[in-house]
This record gives sequence, structure tokens and C-alpha cells, in this order.
Amino acid sequence: MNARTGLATAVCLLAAVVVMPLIIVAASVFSIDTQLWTHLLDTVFTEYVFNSLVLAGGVGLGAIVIGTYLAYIMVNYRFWGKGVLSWLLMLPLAMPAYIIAYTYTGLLDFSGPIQTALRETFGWSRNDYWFWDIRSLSGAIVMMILVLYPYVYILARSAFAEQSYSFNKVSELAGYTRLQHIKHVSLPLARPAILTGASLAMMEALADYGTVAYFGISTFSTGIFRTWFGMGSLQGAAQLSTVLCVFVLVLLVLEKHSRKDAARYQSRQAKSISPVKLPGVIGLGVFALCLIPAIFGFIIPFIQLAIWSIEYATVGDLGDFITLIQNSLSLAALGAGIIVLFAVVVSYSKRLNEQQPSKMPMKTVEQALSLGYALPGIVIAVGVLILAGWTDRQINQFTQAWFDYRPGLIISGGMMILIFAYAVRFISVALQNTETGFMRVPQKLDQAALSLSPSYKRLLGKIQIPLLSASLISATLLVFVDILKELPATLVLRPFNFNTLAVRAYELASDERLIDAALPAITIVLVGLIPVVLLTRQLNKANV
Amino acid sequence: MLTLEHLSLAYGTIEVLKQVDLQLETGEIGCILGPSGCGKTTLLQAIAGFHPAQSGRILIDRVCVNDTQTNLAPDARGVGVVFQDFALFPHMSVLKNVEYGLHKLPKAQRTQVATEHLLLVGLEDYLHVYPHELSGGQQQRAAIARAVAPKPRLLLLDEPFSSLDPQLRERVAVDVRALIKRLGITSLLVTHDQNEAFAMADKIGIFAEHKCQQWDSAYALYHQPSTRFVANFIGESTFISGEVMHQDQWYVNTQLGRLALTHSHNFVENQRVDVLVRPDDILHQDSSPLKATVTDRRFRGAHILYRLNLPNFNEEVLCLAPSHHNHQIGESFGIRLSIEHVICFASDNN
Repeated sequence: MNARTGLATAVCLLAAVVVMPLIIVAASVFSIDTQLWTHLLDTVFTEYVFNSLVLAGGVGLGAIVIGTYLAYIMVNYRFWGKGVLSWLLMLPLAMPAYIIAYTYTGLLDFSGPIQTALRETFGWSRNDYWFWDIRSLSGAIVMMILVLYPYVYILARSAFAEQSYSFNKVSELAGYTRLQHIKHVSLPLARPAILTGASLAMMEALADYGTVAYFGISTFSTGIFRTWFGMGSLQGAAQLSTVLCVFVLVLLVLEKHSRKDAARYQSRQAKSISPVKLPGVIGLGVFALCLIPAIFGFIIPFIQLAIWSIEYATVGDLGDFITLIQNSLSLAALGAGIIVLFAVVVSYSKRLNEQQPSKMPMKTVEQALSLGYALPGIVIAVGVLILAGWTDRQINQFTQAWFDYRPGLIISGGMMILIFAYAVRFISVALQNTETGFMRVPQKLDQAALSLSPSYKRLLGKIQIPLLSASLISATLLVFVDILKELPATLVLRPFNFNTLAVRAYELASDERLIDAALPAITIVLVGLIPVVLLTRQLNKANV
Repeated sequence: MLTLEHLSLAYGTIEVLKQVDLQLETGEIGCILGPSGCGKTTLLQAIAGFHPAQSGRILIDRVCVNDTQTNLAPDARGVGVVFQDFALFPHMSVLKNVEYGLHKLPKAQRTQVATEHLLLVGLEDYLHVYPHELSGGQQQRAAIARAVAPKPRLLLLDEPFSSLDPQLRERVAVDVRALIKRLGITSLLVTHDQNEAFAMADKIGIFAEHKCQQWDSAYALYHQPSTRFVANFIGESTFISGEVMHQDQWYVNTQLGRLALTHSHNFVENQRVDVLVRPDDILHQDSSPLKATVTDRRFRGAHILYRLNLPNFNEEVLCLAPSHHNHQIGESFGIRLSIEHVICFASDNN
């Protein structure tokens, strides 16, 4: 076995371990607990299905409407303020749904400033008026639309921008109006991209735990949590997870299918559309229309968080906050470091095995590893916990038999299990970056390097890592921020008494201590802005 | 059929074309030929109605479609366009693409007309196929069918062959010419490639320096270029210096001999001029007392193109000699001048 095959074998084994939690969740369907399921089916199951589907459907639809109109306007028109808008529209990506949800709750619930002002102005009391209850399914849908519309916006914008300039003219020559052209040509051509974005947004909606838990809505993700902690059935939680995974899988298939369509719809040699200039007043109106999602999706909640943070900082205890920062940053940094390292090894091994005929299933490894990102954090947590519990039991049995000693839950209660769960979930983020990074380094360069000095170690260290540095930085950054924002898996798997910014913000908000929650929340948002800024710069360069 | 009168085009204050005059007769294929950036695509856009004229007039079938008062919308001009990227809608079948331009007809008729036109371009077996499944040449024919199905009076083609493989272009151009002639539709195409222009067009307009330099047949452009630019742009050319003289008739004195002019061409006596010499104007003749030295040679199969240094004034000419006259660089051989059309331009250093 040479170094290349050895590395590939190691990668395959490691990948198998990473994929194990997903297999465990899937395998749980073979040991159905009939009593539990009779109970679930009699009581909450229909509600889980209904709420989850309405939530995902509502978010998908809302994201399609908002994302598509924004994208169409941004590609086809020029108007005052468009440059600023191209930045503002991306900012909601930095706002986790559970954070925007609790911020708006603070603003809109009975004791919030809006309702208080209404009561004071009109002299109403509690039962005199109707006000939208944000802690509802509709509330959760609106909150998620506000932060998830960029998924559709980004993809639809590229799709509109790629449409050939000549398409407009073909329609004009045939005497179609602009609206007819949009209906017959622009929208059908962008449809695959729009659907891809919508399915991503819907996957996020299904994966969400913080928002629905905070609003007290029964969906699959809260249900999994409840089955496990409330009913003590990890198997039941795993089986519910499988049902959720089926929904996600449907979306995943839709997404993959749409991407294939989109690739087919790209017109070749297209001159990109040249945007039409909108005169002053109309331009201003369009600007205002496009600004709305950014105002509600980022500006208002951010200002509210900032106000609360300042309030807290003047009276509160900052010592706790500093511990939280230290915990979160070190956890995220450690996790990102390990995950990116693993991703580099996987990509490198895949590349080496592409150059020569090889029997190693590197493509399968990569596909299996990318599954984790599609699955909700709570599902992964369940899988990881089952795996860790089993491993702990094996270790204890082993040491009991041989050394008459039981070390206890050495894996289940530790930090490594958390990092492992992050690896399962975020390895595909890192892989995407390392893959594109390696793709940019031509294979010929490898051959040249190997012909001069036949060492794979030197090839990686002296040639590829330096050339890959940009991709490595972006991979690390993205995984870092994803870990920082991750709520459900952290909530479930963290060691006792270990808190992160996300967990603490969620807990404090759940205890209605909204002001205390603001500082950790705004920190997450601010750090989350870094990758958003980088992404926006990249997109603006590509699309304008 | 198509008439442009003193047409000037501009992007804001940037002048693109000024004072263009040309005329295309019914059934003719015209070609706008010029280097990139010469405004040829803008001209096409103006004729189609996507770009308003700054001054001058555009007439299609003797109807004014654009002047300072009128500017008919593209769909009111009776113009079909084949775009450079073909602009076939990738989400519609070939048939649907062609039907797209026929939406003013009732549905049944729409399908019938579209099918007829696809039959004409030889795509009858591809009605329900999507554009990406077609070859480049087939896509182009589909685009032509879509453009001509609404029965336009004039067909415009923007760089119609640039998306095709270079090896295919000339052959496809000949096919497309035959197709357009069969359809009997007046057409105007834009290209930067001379071979395409020669293969396609009855009349060619050379565009450069914001002007139409010459609007003529390919033969006339080569043998009777009206500007120095056209002479240089079409075919290979060299110039030798001469002096205009008048004695009974007008002629030019050059070191290759005395060349008769049909009239004065607005030159005055003793004026220095540059005389256009094409490679086929210089004949290889061993017996000739006039010897020239080979400075460069390019083998072209049946012929060899020699670059020759003339003994006096360090002047150079090109000579296309049959390839059995094989001479190496540095050798000399006899040449004879045989110019049918003497083309002179006022010398630069006058």
C-alpha cells in the first residue's frame, strides 16, 4: 500500500465515523417502540407534521416572493441608492432566526413599546383591541422569511443577471410588453434558481429549533427534543428525526434537480443585461420598496439589540459575558481548525486519487460527508449522542472486564463530542471551500512539483497550502461563524455548566430576560457579519 | 428596400456613426463589415429600432421608420433579427421558440406557420427538441426560422457566425446564403470577418472611423477601393510611390513604369501619389529586365506569396507567383507589372 492509498483509506475510515450518527438515526426505524408511537400518533404527531409543513411552506413562499422581486429589480434597473441596497439586502443573513424572533417579541408583545404606545394613545386596555400575536406559527414564518429571503435573492439575482441581453429584444421585436416578457421568459428561466434558493430556505426552516421553541410551536425539531427529554426516549427522538429527514431529503432532491436545470438554462456567450435607469421619483419609490426587507430583517432588530446591549452594559455584570466570549471563541476556533484540517486532508486525498486510476470511493466519501449540512442540528445531536452513549458503554464494559474499573461517561459528557457533532454538520461547508480551492490549482502544477521532488508532503506543504490559503481562510471563517451561531446541537451536547453565546442568548430570552440576552445576541450578529460582507463583495463583483 | 439617408448615431455625446448612406434592393443580402468598435452593431440596433437615430432617416420599404420626428417601435418595423448568441429561449422547445414570435396569430395557425418555417430550415425532425440539444449550426437555423416566421420585410443578422467553430463558418455562411435566397428575404448582416462577408453578401459596406467608407460589391471593394482604409482592409496590399503627369492623357510615373489613368481623379500635375499594388498585379517573368529581391516568402500550396524589395527607393511589393517558381530569400527574379485598375491615393507626405 503506497502513501496515496494509505491516506485514502484513513480518510474513508474517518468519513465512516463522521457519517455514523446519520446512519444510526436512519437505522432507528428498525426498532419501533409501538407504545411510544401509538401515543405520538394519537396526540402530537399530526401537529408536528402540519406545523412543520406549514412553516416550511410559508417560509419558502415568502422567500420566493421577496427574494425574486428584489433580485429582478436589482438586476434590471439602476436607481439612486442601489449600491447601498446591494449591501443592506444581504445583512439579514447575519441574523439568526431565534435572535430576530426574540427581538421582535420584545418589540411587539403586550408589554412592548408598540402596544404600550397604542394603549396610551387610545386609552385602550387589554381586551379592547386585537393585535397580531407574534408567538404563533405565522409569527415564526414571518421571522424566518425576514432572515432567509437572501437565499432566494442571491441565487435569483445571478440567474436574472445571466439571462441574455438579446432575450429582451426578441420579446420587443415580437411586440410583447415587459410584463409578458417577465412571465414568459425571465421568470421561467430563473425558476430553477428560485426553487434552489427556496428549498435551502425551507431546509433552514425545518432545521430551526430556537425560534419555534421560543414561540412554543410544536414542530419536528421541538418534538424531537420533547420526546427525548420529556419522554426519555432517545430511540423515539431518533425515529422522529428520520421522519424529519425524509422531508429534508425531498427538499434536497428538489434542490439538486433545480441546480441541474439551472445549469442547462444558462445561455452561452450572453451579453449581460444592461440595467434601465429609473428617473428620480420612481427610482426613489423602488429604492424604498426594496429597502423594506432590509429594514425589518436587519436594521430594526439590530438597533433594538444595540439599545438593549447598552442598557445592559451600563448596569449588568460584564464578567459573565467575557467568560461567554472566551468559551464561544475558543470552541469555535478549535472546531473550525479541526474541521478545516480534516477537509483539507479529504480534498487532498480525493485529488491524489483523481490523478491516477484508483479504486478508492472518494466521490462517495465526499457526497456522504456533505449530507450533514442538510440535516437539522437536533437530528445530528441525537445521532451523536446515541453513538457516544454506545461507545461509552463499550469502553466501560471493556475496562470493567479487564481492569475492574469504570471510567464513566468519558465521551458523552466531554467537549470532543460537541466538536464531533460540529464536524458532522459543518464538514461540507469546509469541503466546498477546500474543493474549489484545489480546483483552482491546476493538476499540471502537481505533476511539475512531483517531477522535481517526489514527495506528497512537500507538494502539500510547499505548493498547495500556500496556493490554497484564500480558500482555507474562507473555510475557517465560515465554519467558525456557523459554530458560533449553532444552537440546538450545542444546547443538547455541551458539557455541564458550559455556556456559549448562542446558548446563553437563547436561555436568557426564554426566561424573558431580553435585555440580558442582547449582548451575547448582538455579538453573534456582529461576528456573523464578517462572512456576509465577504460574500457580498464577491457577489457584487460577479453580478454588476 | 432598405435606405439609410445621412444617418448619424450617437451614444449620448459620443458619436458612433456619421452621415451613413446606403441602399439595399429587395432580395439582396447586404453586409456591414468593419473592425470591432466601428459602430456596426449599433447600426443594426438602429435599423431594428433599439437605438434612435441622432439625425438622418431610415426607410424600410419606402416607409420612414426613424427620423427626427418618427421612431417606430421594433415590432412595428417588420424587422426580424438573428442575434449573435442566437438568443434561443433555453426553456422552450424549438417549435415553441418559433411560435413565440407568432403570438398574434391564432394558436392552430401559429403551430402551422412555425412548423413550415422549421421545415424550410431543415429542422423538421427537431420540433420538440430543446435548444441545448442542437448543434451550433442547428441552433442558428432555429434562430433564423424564428426571425423569419413572422414574415418580416427585412432580416438583420448580428455576427451570425461568430458563435460557430471557425472551421465551420465559411461553409455555414454559404448554406445560410442559399437559405436566405430561397426565402427571398432582404437581409443585412454584420460581421468583422471578410471571408464571411464575401461568402454571404451581394453588397458590402466597409465601416471604419465612424463612417461608411464604401458600399459596393466585393469585386469593386478589392479592385476599386475608394479609400486607403478599404484598400488596406480588403485583401493584401502594398503601395508604391508615383507622380501624376498629364500629356495627352493622365498617367502616373512609378519605378515599375507608366500607368494610365482614365481621368484626373482630382489630382493635379506633378502631385505625389501612392499607387495600390495587389499581389496578383505583379507577375513572375524571368525575361523581365526589372529584377526584385525576395525578402520573405509564404508557401500557400498552389502559390507562393513573395515579399519583394524593388531596386530603387527601397520600396516593397507582394507577388503571388505559381509555386513552381521556387525562390529562396535573398534570390532575385524578374517581375512585370500588370495592373488593370490603377488606384492612387494622395501621398501622405504631401
